[in-house]
Amino acid sequence: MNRLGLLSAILTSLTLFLPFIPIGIYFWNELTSTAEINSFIKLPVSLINFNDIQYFSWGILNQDSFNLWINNSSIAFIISFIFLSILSLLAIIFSLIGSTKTNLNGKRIMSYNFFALLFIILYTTLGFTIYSEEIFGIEFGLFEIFLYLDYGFYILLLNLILSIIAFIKHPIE
Amino acid sequence: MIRKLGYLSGVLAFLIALVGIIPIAPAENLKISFSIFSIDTSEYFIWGSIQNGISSLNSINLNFPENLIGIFIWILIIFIGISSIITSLSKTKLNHVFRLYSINILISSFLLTIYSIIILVLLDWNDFLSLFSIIGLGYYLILIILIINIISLYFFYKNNSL
Repeated sequence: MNRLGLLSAILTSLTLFLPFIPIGIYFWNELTSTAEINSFIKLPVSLINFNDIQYFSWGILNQDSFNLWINNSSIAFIISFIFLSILSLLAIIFSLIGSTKTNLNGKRIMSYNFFALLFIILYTTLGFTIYSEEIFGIEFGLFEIFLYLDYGFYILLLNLILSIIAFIKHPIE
Repeated sequence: MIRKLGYLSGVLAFLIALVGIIPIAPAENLKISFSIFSIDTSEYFIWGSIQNGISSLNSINLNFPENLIGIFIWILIIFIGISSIITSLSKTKLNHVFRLYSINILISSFLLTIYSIIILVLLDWNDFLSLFSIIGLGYYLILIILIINIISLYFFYKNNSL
């Protein structure tokens, strides 16, 4: 069992399925005296935060409304859906399957996880810059996207490093 | 058997890292707060602070690079949680277990030292017993994590050096 691979799957799942990580969870609201599950801090897992609009692996969150990448027929959104949502899902599947197989086949599958994450990160930095006018409404200069990177991107970057280590140290019996 | 204590250590670390308050009897204001220390109406957790039930300072609303310190400390406690559970798994290699116990001890000692210094600075030395009203459950839980890891390391070293 490749535990780092499992950890990589968990981290990718966090960025694909959640809008935020709840920290400081409480089960009782002292102000309204009602039972509720909420948290004091919501750590956003968005890849980009531009003008208070969050761009996730699954879509866009604009204050109180959300939009999946697939819900828009624009070519830039379809490509974002493929490079972010589909590749994230594939990365989760690859890392889950690869981490359970302790043979050369498993190691090969773990390498697919690494490449999936690499393409997601490259698309976030380069692809979003290329399609910035369609996605963000303004044209970004080269490397301007780095000003708007959010916690989700850094989680993916950490995940990429983990996936390299998981690939190198993959147990073969 | 002693290695299974790592699960307890891991759960405690995750509780400190993620949970704020668990109500026991809200009508009697009976609750379990995982704060490290508290002063007046402010409670300071590993992830930030709350004042009168409202989040005041945390790693998210602080500016860069101040927030990195908060995030770093939070990641340290998450790391203790993950590594404690990994050490408890029977398939983990022995030399890895030894290393992880040592790292856990180092990190929990580091956190305890930092918080102890803060608590001692805040302490009213004319009323030394106020120390116990300042220290919160989170501090004791980090202390328990440290003790569990030291005991585990001792028995692990003893059993594997024979």
